[in-house]
Amino acid sequence: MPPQEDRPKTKKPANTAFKQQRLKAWQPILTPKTVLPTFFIIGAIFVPIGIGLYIASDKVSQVIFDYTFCQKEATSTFSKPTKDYGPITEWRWDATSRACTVRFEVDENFNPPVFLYYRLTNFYQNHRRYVKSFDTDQLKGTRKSSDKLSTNCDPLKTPPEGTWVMVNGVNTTSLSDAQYYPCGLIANSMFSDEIGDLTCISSDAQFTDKTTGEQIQGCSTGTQISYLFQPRSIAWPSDADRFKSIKSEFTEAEIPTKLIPPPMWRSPNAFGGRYVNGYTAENLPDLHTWERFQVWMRTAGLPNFRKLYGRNNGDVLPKGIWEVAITDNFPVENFAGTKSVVISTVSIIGGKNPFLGVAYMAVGAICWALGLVFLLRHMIKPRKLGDHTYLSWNQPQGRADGGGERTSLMNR
Amino acid sequence: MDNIEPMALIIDGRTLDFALEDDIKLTFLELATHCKAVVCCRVSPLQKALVVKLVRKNVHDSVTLAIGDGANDVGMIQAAHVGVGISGQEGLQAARSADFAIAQFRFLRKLLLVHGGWAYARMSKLICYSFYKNITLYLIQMWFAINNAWSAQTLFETWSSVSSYNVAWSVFQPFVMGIFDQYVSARMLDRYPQLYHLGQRSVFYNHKVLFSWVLNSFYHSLFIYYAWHFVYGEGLFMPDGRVGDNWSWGQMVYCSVLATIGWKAALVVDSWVKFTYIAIIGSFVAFMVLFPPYTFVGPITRISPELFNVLRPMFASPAFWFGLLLIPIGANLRDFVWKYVKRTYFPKSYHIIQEVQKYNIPDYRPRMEWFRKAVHKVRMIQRLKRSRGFAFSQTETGQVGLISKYDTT
Repeated sequence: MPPQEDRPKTKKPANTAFKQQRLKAWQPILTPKTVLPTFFIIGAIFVPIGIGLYIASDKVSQVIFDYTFCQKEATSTFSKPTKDYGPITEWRWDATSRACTVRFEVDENFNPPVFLYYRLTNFYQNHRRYVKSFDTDQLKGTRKSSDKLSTNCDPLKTPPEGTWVMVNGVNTTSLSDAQYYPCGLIANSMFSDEIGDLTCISSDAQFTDKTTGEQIQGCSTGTQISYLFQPRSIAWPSDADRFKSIKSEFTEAEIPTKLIPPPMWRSPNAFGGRYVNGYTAENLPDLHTWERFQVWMRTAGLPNFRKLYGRNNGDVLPKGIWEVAITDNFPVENFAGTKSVVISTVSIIGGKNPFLGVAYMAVGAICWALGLVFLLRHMIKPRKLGDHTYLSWNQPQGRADGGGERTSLMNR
Repeated sequence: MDNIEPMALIIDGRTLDFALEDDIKLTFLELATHCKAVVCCRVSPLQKALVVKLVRKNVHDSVTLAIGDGANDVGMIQAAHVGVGISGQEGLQAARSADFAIAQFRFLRKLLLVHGGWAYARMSKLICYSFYKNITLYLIQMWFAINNAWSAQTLFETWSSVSSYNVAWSVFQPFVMGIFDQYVSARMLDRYPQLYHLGQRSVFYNHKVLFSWVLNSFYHSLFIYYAWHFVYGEGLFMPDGRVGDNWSWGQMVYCSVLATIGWKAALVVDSWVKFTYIAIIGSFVAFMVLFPPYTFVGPITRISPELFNVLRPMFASPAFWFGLLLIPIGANLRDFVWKYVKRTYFPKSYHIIQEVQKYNIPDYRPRMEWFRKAVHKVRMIQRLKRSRGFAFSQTETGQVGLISKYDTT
């Protein structure tokens, strides 16, 4: 038998720092010596940041005008709007082309890149049933039979009985395995107004003619100088992976009866009336390159939001009066919303938003103020650290940590 | 009460039988509670348990502790709120039936003052913090509901953020508070037993304390949500002019919530051991490190398709980082100031003891305790010598000394 040591068994816990709860510890205490410098340091860091951010936001150039009531209030000749909708000098409504032509004032030179947004209010893209209303595979270009489409797209998944499309010039309601493409509430409610390029009405700036290269001084309605916005590089770059064309999955003959445009897209006023009669191989949208669609599909977080419509990376937008023609298709009055055009430059924190700058300055200033107040109090009447006279049992009224007299402990 | 000289009641087992009869036991109890100490001798195990039960049932808000080392103490140990068994000479019966087992009677002091004190402080902190961190997160969903037509749309992604919150990102902070935190060191708790009153008077955990933590949750959640509401503005927070969506914004808010509860935990913890650093700082860092890969894994596995591409708008936007720096600190500023003011200008006893502990401030009357004890010993011996009425022929050591002490003739 191997020799065994006769060690008495003991239940005593091991004498390690962990088991005896004497791990090395740091016990921070909020004393004036640590707290007061903290206030001043935080203030010293935050206030300059705040000033910097505020200036950055202040430098952003922005012009917003609201054209919701153009159809109702503008006349067929140019007139000034009766209410304040932004820096609109005059506007005009053309009923035949459904175009609202707005002349507005740009009050300073906008340095590139300049961005064109449309702004909607009271539109709840963040509604739970709305946010999930799409089919990932369909958007990615995968062919799925209509019953396999995600139920999230309901009620805009499959078109109801009696929906018609035009096939080879003939109206037909016999659809086979038809699905809305793209299905869901988000796609259907896509912003369908068309905002044209800007035309210079009056300005003192110097322009270069793009074709001839000659310099033109100033502009007027006759000179036809435009400022263009491109609908490229407006969606998130990686979203190109999320949206792919579905055309290759279908034969040319299948497209009109299997893929149906969402109901609101079939309005004669939407998208230039392109989808009134349904899809064909020619007009089937390529979601991969349709960046405005991709921008719309990224649901906004709050009910008042902007979405990027176009950008101009190289040209300065000079100060002056500019004109833009907007085809008014998108209905907002049924949800008491408004629609506006926003032209803006950017800063490192995005658009014109002084909030972060102000918030930093406010917190920094509050810290300084508090630091000052506590510093004064500390200098006038400091409390000595670890002063035993503060222990409640050393104080005249006696009892440790308060507590009253009790004549009887029993239940009453 | 303090004017009356303290009294002691001595009662033996036979008399206790009568005293515990139903018609007189409450009178007995009332007499007993007026005394500073009650000694029951030669009692049976059943009577021990009955005495404890009598106190437990009829003394308002009492918490009873029973300590014993033999099999005859088992009934009493089980009848009391807290039963302490001493394992050793007389066997393990008492220890087995007890809530706490200690090896020697003198360990009771440390059990109550140190471990009891720590456990009370730790539990209070852990409970309050756990409510706080959850209410803060979920109230933000409610404030968002005001802005999403009350449609119950979640601001945060479901799996990596909401579900994992209580499983991964905010679970180690309360753990560390409950396991390692020491609001005052063991030596201080032993030296100042008055601190035991903190537990007896429910100072760290009561209705008012819990309510104020919940109120703080309201404040933090409002601060975080509305600050990010205004930073998001109309969606333009990216430096390249593009527009952010609800998911990228929501995750930015979530990161701030983690940071806010992290700063709060840092304010609340009294004692930082290495696990505390890992838990508080590590939890936040872990999320910031593990979330980016998940924005790829989540969509591919179709668990979290909404996170597709959400990383770049978040991490590449200076607005996110500026907000992440400011908003949690801004939210906790009130907490920081409050704590400082309370400690500096309205200090409780334990605040002072914490300072004594940290700065090694000596007790201004160090020898007083010793002197008091020495005088007490001398007086006791003098009293005994006075009361002894006869002489011993044997020496005064050993058994004789013992006998003479007990002799009351």
